[in-house]
Amino acid sequence: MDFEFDEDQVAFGAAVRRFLDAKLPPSRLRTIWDEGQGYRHEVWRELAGLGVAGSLVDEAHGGSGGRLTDLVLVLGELGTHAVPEPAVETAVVAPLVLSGFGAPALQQEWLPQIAAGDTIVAVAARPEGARVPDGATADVTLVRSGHEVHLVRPQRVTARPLAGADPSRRLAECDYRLDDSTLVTVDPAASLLIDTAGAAGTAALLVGLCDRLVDLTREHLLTRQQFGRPLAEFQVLKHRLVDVAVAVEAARSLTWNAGYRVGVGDPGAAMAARAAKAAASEAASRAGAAALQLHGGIGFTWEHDLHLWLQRAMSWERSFGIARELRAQMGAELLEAK
Amino acid sequence: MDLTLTPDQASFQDEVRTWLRAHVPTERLASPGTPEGLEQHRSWERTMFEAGLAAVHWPREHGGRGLGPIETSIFYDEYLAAGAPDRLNRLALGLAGPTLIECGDEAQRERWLSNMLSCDEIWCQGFSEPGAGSDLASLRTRGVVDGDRLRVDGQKIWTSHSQFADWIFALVRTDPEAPKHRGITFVMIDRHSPGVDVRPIRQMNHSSSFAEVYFDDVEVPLENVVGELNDGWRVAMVALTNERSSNLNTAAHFERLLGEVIDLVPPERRRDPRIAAEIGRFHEEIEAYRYLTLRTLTELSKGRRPGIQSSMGKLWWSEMQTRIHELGLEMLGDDAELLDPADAPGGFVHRYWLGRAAHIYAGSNEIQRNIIAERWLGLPKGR
Repeated sequence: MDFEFDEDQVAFGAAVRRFLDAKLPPSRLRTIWDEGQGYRHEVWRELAGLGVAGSLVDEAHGGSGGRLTDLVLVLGELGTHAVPEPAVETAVVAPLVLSGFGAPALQQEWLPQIAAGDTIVAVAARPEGARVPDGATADVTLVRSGHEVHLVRPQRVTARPLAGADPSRRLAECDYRLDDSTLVTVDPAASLLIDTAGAAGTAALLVGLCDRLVDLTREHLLTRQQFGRPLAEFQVLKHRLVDVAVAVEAARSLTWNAGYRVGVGDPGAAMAARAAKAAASEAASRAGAAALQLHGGIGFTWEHDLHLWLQRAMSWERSFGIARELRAQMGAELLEAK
Repeated sequence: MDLTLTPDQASFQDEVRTWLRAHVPTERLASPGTPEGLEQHRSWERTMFEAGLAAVHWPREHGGRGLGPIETSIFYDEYLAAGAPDRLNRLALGLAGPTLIECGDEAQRERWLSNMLSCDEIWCQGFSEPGAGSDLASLRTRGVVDGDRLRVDGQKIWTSHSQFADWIFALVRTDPEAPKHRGITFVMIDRHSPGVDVRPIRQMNHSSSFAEVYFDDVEVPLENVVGELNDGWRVAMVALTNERSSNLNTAAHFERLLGEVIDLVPPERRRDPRIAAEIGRFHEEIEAYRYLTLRTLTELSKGRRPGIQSSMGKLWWSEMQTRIHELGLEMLGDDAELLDPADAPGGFVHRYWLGRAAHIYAGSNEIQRNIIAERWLGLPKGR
């Protein structure tokens, strides 16, 4: 039993952190917000050079053949920086589904491009009226239709761009024209893998985003003075941040576990991913509420960066399952087992 | 990262499971508060002792198995799964013993350790006082050096197991002039000495598991002092960092509690999504506790001393446990108002209130939040 990351995994995370600290500061994120649907995924291509996009792609297809555990800390860094591309869809869900269920020709066509960072993959939960980040701007979309999973090129997509609260998500409402030529698999395990890998990966993003919220709020408590002393000396404020920090550590622990279980194909992976995603969504929602409250008025301005993280948290809390539904699914399984 | 057992861990798990299956008493033991129950528990502990399983986390030279933190948790997971009785000498095995091993002298270890393991001597803890709860260092029980002994006067409170304990490890103030953390001494007091008076506290949950202990000019040999005179605060901190070993509040324990609650859900509510979501949430919280704990165990097993996770863990399990109890009470419906009969399903009413005590004992949850704020988040002290 060893519940820690190895040196390589820690170093990979640290390299991505250094890169994003330098290349994706809040000021650049703001320009990406301004570009809206016109943004062309430049950050992702730069990140691919570090091995992020190909981490879960096997070596024969140009990746490094890792497991999700290798990417958990990296996803945390992508979350901390609110990376604007659909990272979990492209670097986690697509490689796992295509290598697990795609025909060799399909793998040969797509996996090398994904690993190189040249392809952005979107994921749609249904073929009609689906709300999809990068729905109009992805290079290809994995579409679920019942138990079927399809891979759909832009020519077969009708996308209506939407004004999202976080414009760097490039939301669109999409319809997909599916037929035999787009079908990847009818194996229900593929749909389950989309849910599970998507939830585990998004949990990791959210934990990283929570770290950002806790750090910012901590910094504010230490520097902002009222009544002649730093806010950090007021116990009621300290305790509120402590409750958030504890919720984040709980979510982090569940996320490591989910990443591991998805990575080794453990039968408990689906439950572990749901628990991680529910806990991470809750932690993010509590961290966001506490951050906004403890920042006071300044946090409510457009000028302050806090809102960038709050609005992204709101989006990720909703991707790959909201907490209440995931908990109801877990509870129903436990009730049925008795 | 590898969440499978090593071959050694797997064979230890197998050994423990087999042994427990053969030896765990099939009938529930009576409460150790009764003479009959005390004898039953002693006899169970003696069986464990003879098998070398009394304190698996203690070093071999002191009668333990010398197991690391992960192996110890494997042991307790099996112990709980086997439905084995509550440990009788928890405070000796978890606090007094490890403290003696770390801070005691050879004669003291010789005198006490083996009797802790065999349960020939049972221990209780004399830290809290009526005027010293969260502010433990303000304790006032006096110890005055008189030749080769200390004369102890004062009062301790919330002393569990004291009705049947033989020894008390206590903090007493030996230098009233020194700053409050400096004038304290850690000392072993024979509970049967003249002048020691134990008075059970009747609790709001209709039972009595704690007591007050009064000391009236109790003579304690100076050789019972652990560490140096006036160095007791440091020794006490060693004891408290050991507090989580032999901890039975494991994820497996709460998993079993949640299982009991699931059994209480009436048929007509088993498809209610609100109930399902609550149960799913508790499952998630228990798993979070399991993996929070595993992070700590991993750090300990690599020789690092995690500073803060015990505070996080205590906060997490105590508050989670109350929420699980509350769902149990909701499922009991009108019966939640009734006192539990001795054979009640679950005994939730009793356990609910006892669980509330867990928010207060072993460092109140507010104190834990202060510790986390200061040591984890690096925020300043303050009110």
